[in-house]
Amino acid sequence: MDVGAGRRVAAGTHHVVEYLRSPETIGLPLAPAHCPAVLIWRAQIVPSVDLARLSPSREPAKRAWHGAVILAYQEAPGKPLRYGALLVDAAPQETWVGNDMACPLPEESAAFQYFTCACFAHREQAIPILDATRLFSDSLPWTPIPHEGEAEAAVNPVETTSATLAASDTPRPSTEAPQVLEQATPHTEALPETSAHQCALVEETLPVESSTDASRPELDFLPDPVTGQLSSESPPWTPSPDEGEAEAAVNPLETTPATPAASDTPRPSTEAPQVLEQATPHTEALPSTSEPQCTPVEETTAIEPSTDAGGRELDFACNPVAPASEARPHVPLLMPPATVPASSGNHTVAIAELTAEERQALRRQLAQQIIEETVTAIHDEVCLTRVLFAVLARDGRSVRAHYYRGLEADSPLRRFCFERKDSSLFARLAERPQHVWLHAGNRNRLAHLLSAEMRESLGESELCASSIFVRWRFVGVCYGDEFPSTDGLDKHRYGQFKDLCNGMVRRLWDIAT
Amino acid sequence: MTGTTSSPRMDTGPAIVPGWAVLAIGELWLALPQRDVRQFELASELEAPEASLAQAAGQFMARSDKSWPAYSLDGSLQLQRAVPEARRICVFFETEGQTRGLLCDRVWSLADYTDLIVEPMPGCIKGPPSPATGLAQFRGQIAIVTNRGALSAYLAYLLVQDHVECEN
Repeated sequence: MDVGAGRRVAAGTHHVVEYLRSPETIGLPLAPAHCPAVLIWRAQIVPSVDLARLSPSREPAKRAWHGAVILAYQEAPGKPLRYGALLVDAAPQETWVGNDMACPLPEESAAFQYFTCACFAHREQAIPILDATRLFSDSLPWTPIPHEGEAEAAVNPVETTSATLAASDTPRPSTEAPQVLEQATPHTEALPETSAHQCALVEETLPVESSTDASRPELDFLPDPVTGQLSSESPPWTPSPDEGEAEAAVNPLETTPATPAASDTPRPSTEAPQVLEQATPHTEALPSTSEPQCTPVEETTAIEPSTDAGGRELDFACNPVAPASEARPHVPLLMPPATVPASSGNHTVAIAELTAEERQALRRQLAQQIIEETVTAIHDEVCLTRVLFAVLARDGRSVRAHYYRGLEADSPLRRFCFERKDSSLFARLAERPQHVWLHAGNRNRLAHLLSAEMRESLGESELCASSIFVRWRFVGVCYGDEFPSTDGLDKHRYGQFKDLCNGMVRRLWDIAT
Repeated sequence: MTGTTSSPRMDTGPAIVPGWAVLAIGELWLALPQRDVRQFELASELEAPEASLAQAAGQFMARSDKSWPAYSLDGSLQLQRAVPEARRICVFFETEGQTRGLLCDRVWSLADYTDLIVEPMPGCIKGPPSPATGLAQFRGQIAIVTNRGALSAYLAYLLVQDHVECEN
């Protein structure tokens, strides 16, 4: 997590609950400099900590942060969960950390060290691991820094140590050049839903269309309705231990000439766009697309459920594949009891009280709704003129457009389809969780991955797409472009697109568990 | 700040009523239990402070010839001598036989304690002396919850600080 002032910190994934983008904070008088405000999150008052204020090169008193990571903690074992917000400059990223990565804590800030329990080396930088309990439940044992320019207290009662490391979040450089394909790290846990889309949906007037294709899509990530078993508990691809590391061996796209592919080091913005980009992790650390106070779900009824006029129905039934013993170990989340995603507040009936068939039907309905909401949000919020979601067909081979917004009746994109086994850009995309941004800088390089027919369908507009994996199973591809404009996207909109896709994954993941 | 004095309510004891008085001090909201409020007065009823009450924004004189100092705080909860015009109401509270007043812009009266859900102060926010004993959501914002003891102690702290600064 980039906390500003050139500082990056990590927290165990079991602490990370949610990422809020541009949260509204409320300043408090007489509050310590590093904890100047609170925010209201899920009707709770949550303190927000600005660690940049503890850095020797302190940030201005009123700096602009870009987001906040909600961390859960307990003041003592057995005590109820409490929450705090860590103000950050970029969305958190996830990585796996091993004991061999332990390193001493940097000693540049005694106050900073007070809140850390261990440290690991990552890209030649020492990343402190936060002690969330101490961070939010303890006040500094010395006078905090009230204003800039004052000497920082040099008392540090904490002995730094290279403790055993648990799975922790690792940030990555925020200075990213426009990148084309992103690789996502495996999902590890579901998050409570946040509802960015709902804000936009209030003004929604056009329903998401769904294809009348007779073939039935297979969103194969929900538990078996009878056995309750999940289709897979481990990713079929090799999890990338680190951004860029070992990635080349997995996805040949990154080896495209002149594309350094997910490099470990940040590159200046003038650098040629990458072909592969490490995606934001689809975990609890996912960037949230939410605003804390969104319009209630009840107001989003303008969306018509894409019921199957042609007898089409989303079928989530799946065949149990991997036994539980193969499950990838993960640390359980500290978070409120899982419920149906918040955006589906009208379905807040406890899933456990339903029969297996009812649960499956509800999940199916929710998944459909989530996809529709995401497609709509991408269309309305990211202002992409053509958006579609192509779903893996029941045969497991073809991927066809099923939900779309902004497509003319005769648009060839309505027939968007590709085979997973072919060598197209989208088939490559579907190999693992990735994002792609096709723009002028890489269009020629990637042209060979698009058939003439596909190029004709897509046009010359820049496009972006994400492969959607839930429970490590490919579900479909989300696609958007701004046809017929050729002005091009920008990083911000591409980031919004990715955030929405990641949010959709998180929500689908949530209902799949 | 000057004006007539004497209020027949002066001699009445503290009102024992449930609920909260939410004081608006600029952008800051301070929630005080109603039971801690001795009485409300208009700021226009306050007289100019005596020399011995230099830090006070004014004082309230009653027919019993007792005076109660009133103080004005800014949005950062620091003493201010130049009282903004917006401070139109003075809330008097009593602790340990001492009655003090705090000026504010307006007051909301909440009938029941449950009208505010008070959350404890997060540990990380504790630090400098503060009248805050908790936080509560009020009208989509945050109200700092306090009580007469904490408020009185904080005012005493401010007065000492102010006195030290004046001596220096």
